[in-house]
Amino acid sequence: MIVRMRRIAESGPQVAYQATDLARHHRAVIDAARSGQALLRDKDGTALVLAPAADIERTYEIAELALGLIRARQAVDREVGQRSAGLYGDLAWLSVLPDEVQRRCLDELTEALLVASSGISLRPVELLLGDWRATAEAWADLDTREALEAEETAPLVDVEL
Amino acid sequence: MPTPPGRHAAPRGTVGPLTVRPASARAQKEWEQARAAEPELMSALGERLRLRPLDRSDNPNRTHQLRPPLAEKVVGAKRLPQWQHEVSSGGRVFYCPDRADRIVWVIRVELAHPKETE
Repeated sequence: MIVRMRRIAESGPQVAYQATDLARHHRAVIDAARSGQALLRDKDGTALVLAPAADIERTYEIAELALGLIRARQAVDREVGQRSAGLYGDLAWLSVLPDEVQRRCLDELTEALLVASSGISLRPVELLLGDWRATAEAWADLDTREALEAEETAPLVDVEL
Repeated sequence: MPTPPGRHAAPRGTVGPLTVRPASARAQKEWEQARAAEPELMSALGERLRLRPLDRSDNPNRTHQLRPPLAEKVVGAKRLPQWQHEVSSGGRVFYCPDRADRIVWVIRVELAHPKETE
């Protein structure tokens, strides 16, 4: 987030608006913000950025997901006996899965987040997260796990539900 | 009825609703118990599985494709992908869609999930 904000301030807009432009040239400021970002300099030199809320939310979402993945990765990198579900943060559900599956999950989520953060929708990451969470939930329930792992060699081909 | 000129007949078995079948006697029993307890909910679920078992357009998403080690299941002679739909906040149905044979195999029905990993 800090890096991104620095990037906005350093390489973003060519024009740095003044606080007084909010009154005098508000349309230009708004148009610049709508097209990506508008840089404002307050009287004391503080840089402020006006940008579409969706862009800011997306940046926060990516940062939050990335931090969650880092936290979970740190947990997985510990010895099995030194882990607790709390160390996984928001991904605590991951701790119920076998060790190698946890690593696979984190690899897949990291890859999906890297792709999404390059500019496409975060929806694929959200779907993948939901898929893994559902898998962990099913895995944690022994009856469900047994039912899902069993081979149904004689399914009821004549019964319709 | 012949296909009108300029139009191609759809390949057999690729259109229309799917058939929902139990993959086991246990799944059949669970489905029937759930239908007795929640007839409207199960009717809507049956409709959904017949018409759009892979639809993930709900927001928030309630349909999930399970990942390994639960990603696939053997049903009959086939290895099929395994999916889950959140019927309600605590209810789950697990199923394996067989798109080639137009069948949705129901694996397990739980109306009240006992151990959510929240």
